[in-house]
Amino acid sequence: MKLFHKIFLCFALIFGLTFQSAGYLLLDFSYENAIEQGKRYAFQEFCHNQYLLQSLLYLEPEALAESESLSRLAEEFTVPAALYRADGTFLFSSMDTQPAFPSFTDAEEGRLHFQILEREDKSCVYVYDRVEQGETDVWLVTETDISGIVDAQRGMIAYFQRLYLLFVCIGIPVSYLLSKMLTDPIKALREAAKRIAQGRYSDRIRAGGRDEIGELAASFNQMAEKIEEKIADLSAAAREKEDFAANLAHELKTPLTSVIGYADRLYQRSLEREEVKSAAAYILHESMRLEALSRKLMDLFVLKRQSFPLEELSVKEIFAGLKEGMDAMCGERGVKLHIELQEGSIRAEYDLFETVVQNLLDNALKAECQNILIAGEREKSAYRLTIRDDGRGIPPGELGRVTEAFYMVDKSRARKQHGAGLGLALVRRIADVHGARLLLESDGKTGCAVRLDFPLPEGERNG
Amino acid sequence: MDKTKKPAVFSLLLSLALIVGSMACMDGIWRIRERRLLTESGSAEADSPVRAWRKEKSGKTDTEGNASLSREQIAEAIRHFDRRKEEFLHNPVEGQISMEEAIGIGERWIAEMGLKGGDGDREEAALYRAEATLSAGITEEDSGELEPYHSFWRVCFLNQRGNGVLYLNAVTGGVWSAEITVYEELPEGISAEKLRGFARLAGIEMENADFSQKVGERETLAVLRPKDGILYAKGEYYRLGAGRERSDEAEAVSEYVLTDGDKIRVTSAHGMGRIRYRIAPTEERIYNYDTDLTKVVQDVRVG
Repeated sequence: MKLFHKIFLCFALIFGLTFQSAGYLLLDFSYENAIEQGKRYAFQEFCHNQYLLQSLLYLEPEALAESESLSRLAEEFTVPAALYRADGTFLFSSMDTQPAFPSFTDAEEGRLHFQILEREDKSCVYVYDRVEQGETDVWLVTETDISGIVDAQRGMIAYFQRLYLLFVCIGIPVSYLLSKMLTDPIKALREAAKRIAQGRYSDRIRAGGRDEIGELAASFNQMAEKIEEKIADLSAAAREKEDFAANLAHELKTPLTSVIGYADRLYQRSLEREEVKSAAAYILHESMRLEALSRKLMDLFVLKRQSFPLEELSVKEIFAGLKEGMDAMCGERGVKLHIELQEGSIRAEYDLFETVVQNLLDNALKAECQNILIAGEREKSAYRLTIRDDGRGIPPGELGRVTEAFYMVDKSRARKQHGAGLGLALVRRIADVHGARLLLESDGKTGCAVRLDFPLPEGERNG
Repeated sequence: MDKTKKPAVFSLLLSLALIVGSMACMDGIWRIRERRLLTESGSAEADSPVRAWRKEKSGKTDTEGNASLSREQIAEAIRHFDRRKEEFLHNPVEGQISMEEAIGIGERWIAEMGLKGGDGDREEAALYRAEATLSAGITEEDSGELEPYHSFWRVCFLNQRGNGVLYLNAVTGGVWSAEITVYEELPEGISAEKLRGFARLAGIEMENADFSQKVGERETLAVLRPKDGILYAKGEYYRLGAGRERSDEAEAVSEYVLTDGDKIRVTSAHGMGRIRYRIAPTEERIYNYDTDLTKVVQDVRVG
């Protein structure tokens, strides 16, 4: 059964039970009070007629023996009444019908006895008690009509039931609308969930109100947003992996094709020494390229999967340790290396930092520069390391893509230099591990500057 | 029927069943309840709104041994009775006079006030009919039991000379209010002696009381007022005649059936007189609206 139907049924059940129960309690209280009032009135009437009888008997002790007196007495009584002798035998009555009474001998002194009877279309309270006056001893019974009270109460009950039906007629459409109002937002939620499941990740629902439904709608929208972001991230990651695999396959294929070609040539033919040397040189060259590629791929994978503990290191000390290797690299190409570093410490992993410096130097040397400047400046909350060369530079339009894996501005030149297009991708990954910001600046003609902003350790900031 | 509509139809029918069912169920319960209410039988204590007379509290009795009340109590009882919204009939409690005593006091009062009929040698008035009921006035402010002196015997009587209603205090038996219609031997008015007699029979001594009277063409107003008292006695008399004032009241007193079957008839030719006696607290307006004189003929002050 749908929630809408359940709510509607609950309304009907609660309304029916509550209205009827409350009505019953109220009417019962009223009815009981009204009957009590009727009884009290009947007791008063009895008392009055008792005095009338006693007054008559006081002045005329033999009145009950004379039929004319009895007839006069009947006229004097304010209500229909009956008289019985002390032994219970009938004496006189002005009632239409004589009801049957319990034994008069059970009477208690000081207490009035009553009986309520409903006959035909009349409800009456019969009150009886012993009346003694002089030597006369009789039972007086009075009949007080309370039909008016009963009819009024029955009228109230009938009116109540009509009122109930009226409220039911009003309540049914109102509860229908209320149920609809409560369940419509849930239906909207269901439809939105269906659309998202069908791939429309950008769908949202209107989240109005501060009640639970409003909160649910807001949470649903939040969830949908997260799902959309995650789907986008996953799609991007999948595309990246596809591209990576495609590029990797391509980078592997190219040197392998050359290697296979030259190896086949060596195998198939008898070549002159010079030709063999040339083929072997080419095979060696491409193998070295493959080896460099595989090494860098390993580094990239390791960076992805491993966490690296960082320690506070002095920049000057780091470069003091790297100087020999850097001098050797630059010395081979005849490039002048200038290092200007300010005092400062950064949180770094030494080997990874070395990899960054080596890759950036390698790129600068491949760009056929004459001078390389390594400058370190201490900023407010970061240590800025800049490696600037005066080589051919990177065209400004390519600056945004050079940190992508396998991306090479000039593929043929890069392959000649054993490049695989992974160096700057590695530098970017290492910068991320260190929490550093990487920025490349170049006009494509006069060189390139690579800037790395390493966050200063806590104690070094604003120092 | 479409599967999707079945639950809707089912829930609608179920809700209607709940609604109608609750009605029918309640109706059945009502019938049972009403049957119980309208076949109830038993006994109930004869209620009394007043408590028994605490003799140890008051300690006062008159010369005849009846309990007596202070002026303040009398004033309070009269004010309470005048403010009543309903009257509650009850049986006499301890300290209150009985019905026989009330009628007896009424007879003596009628005789002493010169309203006796029948055989003139008898001290008591020959009553053709008398009817005495004891009730306590209930005001809106009352809660709990009242003092026994808040009850009054109402004695209605009829004799050859007239008919009337006497109000007797249930504790002292004093007649504090009387309204008499006489149609034989109409009095000349209200004399100081009559008013003093009324005060005495009411159980209230009026020493050094001023008597004042206004006599009109057909009415008389008399007041007996003590100098420093909180109660006063008032008497009003006016003569009624057919075709003149209060002719509708004259018609109401037309015929009574006596014990021997004879009837007495008041004819307009005889006329009627209406006498009212009353003990009242001094703050009450002395002259009532319906008895204000149109023309004062005689204004008498007697100390």
